[in-house]
Amino acid sequence: MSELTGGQVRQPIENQEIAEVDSLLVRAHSLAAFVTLLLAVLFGIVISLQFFWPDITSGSPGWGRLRYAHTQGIMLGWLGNAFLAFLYHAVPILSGRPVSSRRLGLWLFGIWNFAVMLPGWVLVLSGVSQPLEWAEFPLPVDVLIMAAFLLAAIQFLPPFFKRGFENLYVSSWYIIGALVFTLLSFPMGNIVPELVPGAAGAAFSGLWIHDAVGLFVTPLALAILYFVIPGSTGRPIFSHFLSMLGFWGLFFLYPLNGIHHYIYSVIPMAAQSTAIIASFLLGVVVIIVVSNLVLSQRGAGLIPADPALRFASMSVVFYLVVSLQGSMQADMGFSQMIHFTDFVIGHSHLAMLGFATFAGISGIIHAWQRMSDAPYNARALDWAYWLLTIGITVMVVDLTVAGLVQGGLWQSGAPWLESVQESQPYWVLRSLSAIPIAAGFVILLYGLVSGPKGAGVAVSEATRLPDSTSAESSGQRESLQDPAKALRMSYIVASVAGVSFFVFSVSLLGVIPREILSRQSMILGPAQELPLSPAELRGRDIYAREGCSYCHTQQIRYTDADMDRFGAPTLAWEGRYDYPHMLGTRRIGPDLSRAGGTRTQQWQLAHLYAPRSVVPQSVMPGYPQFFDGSAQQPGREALDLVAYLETLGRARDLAWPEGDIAGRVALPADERAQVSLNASELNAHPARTRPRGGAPDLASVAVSDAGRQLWQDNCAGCHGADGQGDGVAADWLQPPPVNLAQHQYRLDLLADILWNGVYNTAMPAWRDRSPDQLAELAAVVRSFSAVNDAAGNSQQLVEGESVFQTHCAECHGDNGDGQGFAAESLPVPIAPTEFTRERLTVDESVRILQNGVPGTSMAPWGDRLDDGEMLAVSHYLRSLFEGGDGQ
Amino acid sequence: MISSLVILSTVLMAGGFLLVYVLSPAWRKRIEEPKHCFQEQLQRYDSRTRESHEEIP
Repeated sequence: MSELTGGQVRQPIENQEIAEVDSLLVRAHSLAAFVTLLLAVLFGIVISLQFFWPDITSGSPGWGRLRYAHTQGIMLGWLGNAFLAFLYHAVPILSGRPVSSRRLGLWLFGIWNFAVMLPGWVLVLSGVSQPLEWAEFPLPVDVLIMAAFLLAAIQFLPPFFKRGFENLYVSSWYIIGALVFTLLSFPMGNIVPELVPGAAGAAFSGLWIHDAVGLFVTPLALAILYFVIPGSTGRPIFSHFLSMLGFWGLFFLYPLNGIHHYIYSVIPMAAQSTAIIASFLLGVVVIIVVSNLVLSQRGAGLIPADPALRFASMSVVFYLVVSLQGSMQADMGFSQMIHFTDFVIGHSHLAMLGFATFAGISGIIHAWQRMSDAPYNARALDWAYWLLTIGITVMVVDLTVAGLVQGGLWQSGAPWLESVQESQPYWVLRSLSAIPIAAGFVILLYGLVSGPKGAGVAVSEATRLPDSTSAESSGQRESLQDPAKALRMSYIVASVAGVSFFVFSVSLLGVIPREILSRQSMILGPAQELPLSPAELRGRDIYAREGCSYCHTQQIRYTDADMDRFGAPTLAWEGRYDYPHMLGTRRIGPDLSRAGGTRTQQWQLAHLYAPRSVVPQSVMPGYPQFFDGSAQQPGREALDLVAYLETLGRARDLAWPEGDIAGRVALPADERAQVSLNASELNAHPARTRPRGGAPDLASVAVSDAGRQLWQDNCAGCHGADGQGDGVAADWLQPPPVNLAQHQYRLDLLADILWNGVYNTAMPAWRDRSPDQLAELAAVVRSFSAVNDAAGNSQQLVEGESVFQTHCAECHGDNGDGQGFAAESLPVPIAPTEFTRERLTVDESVRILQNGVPGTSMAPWGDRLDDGEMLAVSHYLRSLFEGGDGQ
Repeated sequence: MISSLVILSTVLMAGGFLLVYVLSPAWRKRIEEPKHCFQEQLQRYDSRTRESHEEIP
């Protein structure tokens, strides 16, 4: 039977020749895949070690840059090359035609590895990147990636067009779909967020995050599974009907999932609920796909003998688990808890290193087995399988549990650092799981470059299932009538449907939300907004370059836990000048939407230079490269970055409260905006200082181990282990941390200081601690005090009172309560000491009188008071102390 | 409303496929045909690989 098409005689598929597979390109891409994989895994290991050894890369590319290199390396370097290797093997077999051109193949190989991967890595590691998840390579590299995808389409699509679309096997559908839709979706995720700001841009990012998985990785991985399983078993898949049902289901639903990365964000709820519904439905479709794949392996056993099938089989298991996880994560209640946690990181590792990687490996092994001159070491592949399966399972289970722990703590309102401390053992185990994973990959590569040549051919024959000749196969099937005309129509319909699905998803989850968010921004945003200064803009670039948004989100969600911890949920207009957005999808550190004004510049600089100096439990890497050898000598980059941090939340702060009042009137029907506008606090940062008052009463308790631990974890960095004001960061802060041995505090004052912090100093508030914890901390503080009750003589007290009333009372108040008439208008607005509630040793008073207190309005008095006067006033100050607990 | 549209589209698409599959034996055969064609292509390719391997001394 033959058919005339376009003047040429086309052979029916049954009689078509099998085209030559270009094994050179299969090998080239396979080896490039493993080289990039090992490098990407190395980056991953280093960043995982930084969770408990933060400064391991000090002075070299930091955590964020390595994270960029890691994700792009896995997706484009490893999986991209593995998929291309598979395509060079599979397309000629599927289409009966050779790929377009070897020369084109060599160009594609060169561009993919030497114009995309190599410069991409060099650029992100040297600080040229974009802070968009799964789109971290900078725009010039993106252009080359699009060129490479175009070349891939030219290379692999024409064989299918030449062959015709009759009896097109499901793997071919997936390959065609992946090549076409990646070309469409890549620019959307990599370029549009640079042009569309804030949450609207994030909507497009969300689409890409999911399209990268759903329209690039998953289709090609499934193409491999549908190819390898029948190839290894020697038996057709269970049902082509189910496979096509799955294909159309996936291509319809995957692109609609994107916004589920931004549940409870400001993105319109209609878009969120669409993504949630699509995610649930996708789970159902995946069950159909997986059932079909499992049934296609019937008889092969739980652990198939053929290594290619074994990897494929485990890939199917991973696919089921990761897809059901995805559906669960879209559930609003569950998302509220686990979003931003390591649960999601476990999920993405299961998708990319589990499902897709195992599929990619099975495709490479399958192709390798069919190259007569390729070395093949079955024993090594066996080892690799077990090491990788164990390693990835341990990693994913570990991260999943870690995520649940983190989510539980965040929901409970526990201090942020508690979640960091609790995560430590999980992070250590995650790094340990990298040992079998890395070893597995190395041994896998060894298995493909060692052993007898052509040994894979024998293995593939020996492991074929005994009933490999299907009853329905060649010659016995009922001959079908020529379906060409009807099929051609159906392929046109299919093409239109496919493109429509994509356009539908982009319109629904990208374009329409953008319009709604723009409208909300226009109505609620202030007419005039203070723009970022050049220094602040430079700081923003540094923030983006260093990957800060991969640990710190800039979106407060519409959830009680977020609002209690961070304040009013983020409104659309707050990010209207954010090109690209910095919403983020992970919180290792706290959200920074309203970080401005919560810490002093010196604290920020100290934190940037040596994070553990001011936050002993922090896992943030330091950035000493931004300084000239000391936190007191910040370079321009450090100052710029801190300047940018100071702008976070500034616009809403400046607009508030009038802006919020006006907003409530302007958009009364927008329920979610009203939640933000009516939030009890605009900025709920627990460290943000407040005026004195409102502190809880603290119980007077004895010093406990828990209190000492609290001290070490939170206070020792500045005040020193023994409270003598000599912590690591002490020299970098002005005013310097108080030497607590020289001070005595009444309990009510301590409660006030701990609860409210001290404005304009590095002493933050500790409102995320319970009153019991603050009481334990207060007990430790008071235990450091060496202040005694010794009083001066009456002459000193009279003279001291005279000096005090002449020189000190205007600030410290007539009776020493810190309420002097000048207290409100000091050049450095730090509240004067309240001597009624705080007593100093005489030596400390004299020292302060002689030298002043740097960073405050307390000037040195050594040139105006003689020694006797200073001694006298020091005794007088002590006499003002009222003692007791004051509660 | 949009969510309902997504659900409806999915159900209609899957239902439509299923209905045609159940009601039309010819279409049923046709939709399953590619897997057999592919299997033959695979077998031919493997046979040729085997032959070329055996030719290697």
